[in-house]
Amino acid sequence: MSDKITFKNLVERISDRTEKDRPFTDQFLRELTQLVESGLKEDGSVSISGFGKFELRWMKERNGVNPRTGEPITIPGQNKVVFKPYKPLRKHVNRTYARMEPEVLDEGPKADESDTQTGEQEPVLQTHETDPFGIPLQSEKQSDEDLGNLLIERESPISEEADSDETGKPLKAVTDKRLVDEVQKNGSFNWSYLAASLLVLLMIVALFYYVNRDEPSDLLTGNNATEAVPAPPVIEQNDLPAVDSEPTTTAETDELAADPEDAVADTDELVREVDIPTVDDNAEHIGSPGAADSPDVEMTEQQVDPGATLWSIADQALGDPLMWPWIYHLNIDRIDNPNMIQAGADLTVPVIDEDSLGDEEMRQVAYGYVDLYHWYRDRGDEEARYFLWAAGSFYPDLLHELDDQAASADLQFARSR
Amino acid sequence: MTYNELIDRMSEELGLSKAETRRLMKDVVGEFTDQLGEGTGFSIPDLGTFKTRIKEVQKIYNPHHKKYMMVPPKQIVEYSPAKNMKEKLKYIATGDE
Repeated sequence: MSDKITFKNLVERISDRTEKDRPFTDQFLRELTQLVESGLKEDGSVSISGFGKFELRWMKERNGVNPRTGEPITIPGQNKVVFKPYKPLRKHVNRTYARMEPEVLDEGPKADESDTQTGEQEPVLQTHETDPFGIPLQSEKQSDEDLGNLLIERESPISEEADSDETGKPLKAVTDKRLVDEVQKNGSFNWSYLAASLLVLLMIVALFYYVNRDEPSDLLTGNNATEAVPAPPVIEQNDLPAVDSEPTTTAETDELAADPEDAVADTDELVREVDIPTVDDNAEHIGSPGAADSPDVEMTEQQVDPGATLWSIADQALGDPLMWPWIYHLNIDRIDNPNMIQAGADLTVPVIDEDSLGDEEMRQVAYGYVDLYHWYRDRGDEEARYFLWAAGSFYPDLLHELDDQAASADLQFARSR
Repeated sequence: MTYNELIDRMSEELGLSKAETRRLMKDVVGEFTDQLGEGTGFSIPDLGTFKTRIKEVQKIYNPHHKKYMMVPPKQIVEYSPAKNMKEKLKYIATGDE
């Protein structure tokens, strides 16, 4: 594999192929070299069809150490010549591997299973464990099961019977067996397993506690408590004055705001405020008139850093990554795919006070989720309805305004949550 | 420099027709590709060395799908520029400087 042919040999082979004499081929290659060099000098890149592209890449000045003396030195900025092989070449050298595809491994993290349940395109609804809306029904049920598995799996080194207790879960059985084997081989029980399982148990208990603490509203809203659904903690405040839900001067023309149903929201005496995960004290902030009275949301233009996602931008700018659809909503004309934004692009990002989020902010986020719903539904994604549900959890009234814009089955789904 | 520009200038320098240059270039590239396909490396004076290397099987984490994946091995074409050329191009101004 690592053998090499000489230039002379190469020239011979090419000459055979082109039926030219060797001096000519030699000259041809020299000429090619010359032109690659001058091409790089002139425009920094030279493309050779079917082969690849030579490019000059500027390497910034960086710090290094002299390997011999260990003394720090500054490596000055300089150009590097790189070669990017084109597809025909890549394909040809890889032809023996052509049929090999990347394989998904079973031993993924726990999030795996809940992911496939609720749609893989939907980071919003699973990752934020502290968020009450972030865990939809199915993933919660699923994770209950997971927890069960996890517990059994962790306990197995203690009691070897666990193996026979749980049948029909091949993957787990393998793990158990391995653990059991190890215990047998070592002759003694490895205490670090116990420590690890205790730690995991502790974390699970803490997680449950957290989820349950955010859940008391279940009782309020009459949800079936046995479902263990972390329903959005909607708190109804009947006696508050109706909060202005007119769209603000968000520099954004949204077709939703123009809906006649707006009036419905306005006259609706029942003001619903949704708790935000970042807000610790519900009672203080919810429906705080200050936020609702100043619905004007300030906007700023921000450039997308390499590696940034809408999620990460929302986390930084809004204090809560779950609010990322708002940014999508504001920039819907500029973002083709909400899962992929271009580094260097400009985005309009709202400037908000994280501690006093009002109705209007919630509404904007909900619009974002509705936009996402449309985006996913246009692509025939079944999971689109989860976005509608998320919109409802941020701003329940919105679901009643969407009658003609969403599939009734999806609306039904979102409302029934 | 695009491929067409390269062919244009090449044919000028060598005094050949563009079609002929194109054909020759295709054969040259074909030979390069075949050599690399056999796992054979080669050097061209003042241009550099081409060779292939196997990138071993690797386990990666796909953060989007939250899954671990096994990526099959693959051949990678490596190029290291000739010293001569490297030095000549080191400090010239480029667009992205």
